[in-house]
Amino acid sequence: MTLRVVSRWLSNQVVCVAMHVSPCEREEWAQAMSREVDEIPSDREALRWALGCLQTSCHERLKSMRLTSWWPVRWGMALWIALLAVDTLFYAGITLTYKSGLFTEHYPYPRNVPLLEVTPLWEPMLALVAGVVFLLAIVLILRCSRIALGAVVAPFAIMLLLFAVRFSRPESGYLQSLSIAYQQSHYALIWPIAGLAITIVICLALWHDSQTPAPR
Amino acid sequence: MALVRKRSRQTLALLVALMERPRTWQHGYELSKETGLKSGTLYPILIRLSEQGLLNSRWKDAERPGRPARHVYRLTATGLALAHEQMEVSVDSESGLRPIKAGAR
Repeated sequence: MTLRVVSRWLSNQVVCVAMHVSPCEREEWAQAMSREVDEIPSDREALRWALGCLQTSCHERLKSMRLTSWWPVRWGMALWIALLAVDTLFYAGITLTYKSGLFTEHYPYPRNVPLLEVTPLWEPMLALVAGVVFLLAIVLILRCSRIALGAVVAPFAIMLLLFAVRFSRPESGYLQSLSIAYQQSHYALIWPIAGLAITIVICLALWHDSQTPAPR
Repeated sequence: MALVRKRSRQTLALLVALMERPRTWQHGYELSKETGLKSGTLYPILIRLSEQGLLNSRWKDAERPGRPARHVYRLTATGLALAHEQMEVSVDSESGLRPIKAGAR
């Protein structure tokens, strides 16, 4: 087998893969790209063309894919949103319980009492709403609903707002605790940043899915 | 005055190539050679233009017997109008409308 034959064979194989990768609605385009290979006189150029076809097919396949149609992605997203829901509902629950007077005698975290005292009632109420919407988002994600994006973005925005409010209040001690954690380990800030990044990635994935037509 | 969204340099190069011979159906490889665009860049643009109703495509029987039909392209009336509009927008801009030849990026 000469190099020329190998190169042509490889081009044809790459084109075959590109045809398989291409989504159904792009079948005509995949054929159009592949048929040009036979018209290219140079073997090297034909191989480059075939690789370009594969690139286009992969691009089109990714564009047409709904990420939530793949169950590990869907369940991964739901698990992360569940963690956010638990975190938000825990904060809302503990603050509202204290505010309702149930913890005055035996509150287990006395260090937090000054902070709870100055926390206005609307904050845990808002957190409660956010937590409930997060729970709703879990159901919507698992059902591949297009409105899941809104159900994640809205409580996420509320959470960011609550964090901003808490950071702006000096008695909250948030900045101090972050500063102490950073002094203990420079990597301590990775976790909150990673958490933020994961939620943003989930929002982007849901946005991508809401823009992608349902598979035929 | 209505704002005209400026297209990418690659799209402009393709529009120019198609605009130069508006009545001629052109093959993908021919367009690639003319614009210097690789197939991985050319076809996503062709697909997008076609979906936007700016490009017509059809299968044309091969000139040589025994060969399969090939896809050919030309601009629609809307596409041609847009190409003229884009040329006016870009004629004074830095990117210009030069074809993108290999290694000239």
